[in-house]
Amino acid sequence: MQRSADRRDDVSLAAGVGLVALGALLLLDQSGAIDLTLGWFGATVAAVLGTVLLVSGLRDPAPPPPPSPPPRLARQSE
Amino acid sequence: MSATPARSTPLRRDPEHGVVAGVCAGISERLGIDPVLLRVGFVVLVIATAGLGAVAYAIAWLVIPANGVTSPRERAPTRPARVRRGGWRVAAGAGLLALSALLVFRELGIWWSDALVWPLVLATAGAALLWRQSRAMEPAAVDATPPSASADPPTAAPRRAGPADLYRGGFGIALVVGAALLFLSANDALGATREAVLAVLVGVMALALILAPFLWRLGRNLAAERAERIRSQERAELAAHLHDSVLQTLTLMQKRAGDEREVAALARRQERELRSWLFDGRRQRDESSLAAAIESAAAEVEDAHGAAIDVVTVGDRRLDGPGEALVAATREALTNAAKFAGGAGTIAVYAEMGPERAQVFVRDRGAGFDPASVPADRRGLRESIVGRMERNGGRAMIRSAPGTGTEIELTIEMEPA
Repeated sequence: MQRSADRRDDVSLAAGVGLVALGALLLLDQSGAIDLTLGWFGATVAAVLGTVLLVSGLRDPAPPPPPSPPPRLARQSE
Repeated sequence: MSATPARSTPLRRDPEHGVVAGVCAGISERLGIDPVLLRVGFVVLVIATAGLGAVAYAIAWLVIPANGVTSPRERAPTRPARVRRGGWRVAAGAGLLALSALLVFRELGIWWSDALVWPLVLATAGAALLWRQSRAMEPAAVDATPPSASADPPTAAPRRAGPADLYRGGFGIALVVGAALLFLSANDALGATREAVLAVLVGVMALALILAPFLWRLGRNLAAERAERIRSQERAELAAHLHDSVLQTLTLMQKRAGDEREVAALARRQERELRSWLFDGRRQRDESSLAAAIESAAAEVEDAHGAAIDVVTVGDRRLDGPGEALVAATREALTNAAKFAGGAGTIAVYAEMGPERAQVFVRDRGAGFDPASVPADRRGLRESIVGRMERNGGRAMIRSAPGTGTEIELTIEMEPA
């Protein structure tokens, strides 16, 4: 299926933003601007992964309702 | 339940299906996830943050308006959870976000104790899985179907557990047990518990050794009872079918014993029905099948003229335009054979259906005739058989001579199935 050019991929967008945020945190930690402890880093990684999974799951449409059974005709006796 | 997508509905509280004020029920309805997961995550958040989550709930209670659907006509009393296809991703994502929030609160110092919160998180996650599992094993909710749509009474049978259910349930149990062990270990109570667990384990093993022979025999008895019940049902079904078909026909034949032709037709019809029931797996054949259409045409001719017709079909294909022409020509050939040679024995039909071609042979043991001597005004043979086949891209060959019976070969090329 061909995708339209203007269609936004929310999952990729969330993953990209999360990776950029993680990279920025690590960069700030390396430069000494902040002190990134294991707890904060774990919280950030969990938040990024959780957001990506949540967005990915919410993009799936709900399954269609099951079709209703056809009306059964009364049996004719011969 | 409304079939509109979850995103098109605004966020509303759902007090009717909620536990406190319906905040979690409304959010889960909006997001299409299981409300149990949301409630469990919220309870963990409330405990871990020493009550801050409860304040957030109260704010949501005030801010989010309640929905106005209270009429039973508008909403079913038991509403199944609308779960998305990516439900596991939503659940895992929500779990990771909750974990992230817990870590943040821990780093900020809004925290009770690692020895309490982490076992609590594991235990509530396991309990949520088990609760969801037990709810999934409940009988399916019966939909409010109009009486005209179904003649059968609504039934609600419990769902059988599949491998995924077992894995989910096992994982939930493992989480709860792991939480308990973690709690005991963190509070230095595991040593004392170990002896108690060992004692219980030994007791259970001894009990298992004592009860094993009885349980094994009980299992065998149950299996034997089940097999006997199945056999009994099969016998009852067989008896019911024989009563409805064979016995009724025999009664009819006794009443019409003076009419030899009628008796023969009844016997043939019953034989055909019984063969079909026995050898077609007691299933009705597809009406779009060419083989079924030929057999049906033969049965019609047999019933109408009282002639005995044996049908053998090899292969099958979908009944399309050329197939219908072939069936019509076969019916005409059978009608002729039944009219002019019905008393000379059984009429044989052999039909072979391949992917690109179908052939039907109709043979009788009548007096036979000279095809060249058939008058021009006898349109049955010329138009209904030969002409019809040629118009549909096929051909008909008639082999007959006085005293040798008649064989009509019908061949038609068809589009590959």
